[in-house]
Amino acid sequence: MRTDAVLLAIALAACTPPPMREASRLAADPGAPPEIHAACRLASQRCTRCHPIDRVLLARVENPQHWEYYVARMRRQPRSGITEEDARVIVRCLVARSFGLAALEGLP
Amino acid sequence: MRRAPALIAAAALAGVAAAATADEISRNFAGSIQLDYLAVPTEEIAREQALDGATAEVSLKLAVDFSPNLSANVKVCYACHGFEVGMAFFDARIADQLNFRIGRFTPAFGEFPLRHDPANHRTSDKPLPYDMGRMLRLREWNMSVLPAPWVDNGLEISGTQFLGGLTQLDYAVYAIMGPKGAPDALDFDFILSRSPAAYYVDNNSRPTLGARLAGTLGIGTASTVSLGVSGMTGTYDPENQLGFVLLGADFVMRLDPVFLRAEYLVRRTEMSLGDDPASRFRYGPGEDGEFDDFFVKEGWYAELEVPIGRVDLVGRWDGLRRRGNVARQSPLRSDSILFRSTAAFAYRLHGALRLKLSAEIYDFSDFDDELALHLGIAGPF
Repeated sequence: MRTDAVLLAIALAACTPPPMREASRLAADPGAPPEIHAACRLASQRCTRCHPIDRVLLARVENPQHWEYYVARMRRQPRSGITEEDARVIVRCLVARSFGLAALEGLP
Repeated sequence: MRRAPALIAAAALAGVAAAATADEISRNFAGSIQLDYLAVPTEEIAREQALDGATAEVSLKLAVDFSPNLSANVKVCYACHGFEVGMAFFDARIADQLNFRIGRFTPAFGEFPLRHDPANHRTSDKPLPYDMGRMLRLREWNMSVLPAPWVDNGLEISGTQFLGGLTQLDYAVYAIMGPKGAPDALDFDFILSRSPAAYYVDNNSRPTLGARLAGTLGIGTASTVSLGVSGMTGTYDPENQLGFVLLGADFVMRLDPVFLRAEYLVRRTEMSLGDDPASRFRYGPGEDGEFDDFFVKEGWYAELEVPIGRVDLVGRWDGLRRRGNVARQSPLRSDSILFRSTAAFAYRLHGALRLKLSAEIYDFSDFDDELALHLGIAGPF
């Protein structure tokens, strides 16, 4: 039994790729305006209250409205801490990251 | 028999997916996997007291947003019990202060159930008050106070009042089927809650009722302190003769990336005395000549989570205590206690994939002390 655990550890260690990306925060594009950087800081803070930020990084969305619905659903979770205004700001970060700054013009 | 839940789950997933065809409807597919290996080096053969070895926990979730105020969620889990439907509900928001959740869900109780998914917490296993089968001596203790995730059918009404900044007040009230037990039960029978042999329906025609109230106080722009209280009560036998009351209190302090959490749960559960209590219980009657018809089970944990670069460090102290008479064949005493200390770290291997390692020292009042080691890998997708 202990041998199995050791083998599992070795196998996991062997699978570790050398370069690893830090992904504990949502980062805006370096060229994005300060408003979007601030929005992404807010998103990182709010979203990690209940789950790792990985959940957001891995989400597959098809259009900006998808992010609006997604954040609205998260906002309904207990203790989300996401107010209506927070949701609007967080969506701007997520839309800018996923679809570029031009897509922000379509947001309400 | 085993295929039936899987087929039902697949059909439910397909049904929700098929409904989400209009352009304005958004769908999100997500999931997580954890493979954990539990070793007990202080025992030559640990299977007699634990479900050691490798355990896989898999979840697949489909969320469908019909509008910003209406969504459906279906989640299928595969773990020790095989396939289970962990979520199948509609969420309807009327206002921040009024949401309806209808279907199969985890009712609002305590803090840990919010992050019960293995990809959402940093240790391989759960705090003892919420353990679901990974603790040592699980059979002797009949597991924890409220195994998480507690999934049940029913209705929940909840809401949030935002009070500026990060400060908010949350409430929830719900009616669910509740736990189950036999007519002559001495405790909950958790297998009945997930066994198709007893049907996935209420066993006593009366709902279990519960409520939760939690307040969060914002400190600065990124730190919060939260306090919550939860309660649940009902009967768990078919004749509605055996009642229970479950209470909980939780505290979470977040100092930006650092979390300090603590919870306390206590459950008073009535037992069937039967026709001949003297032959049924290990201990005799009290000074008044009567047998107590209840026991009290408590559980608690305090946990500090500190991220340092790619590593999340976790230190946890948790425990269980059971007071009250026990079945004649039980190895527990009338006052049994368990303390556990855990040191754990989760290392970010790549992206969202984490290697989890933890060491747990069990200090039993009724059994030899034990060391348990977990090695696992977990991640969302």
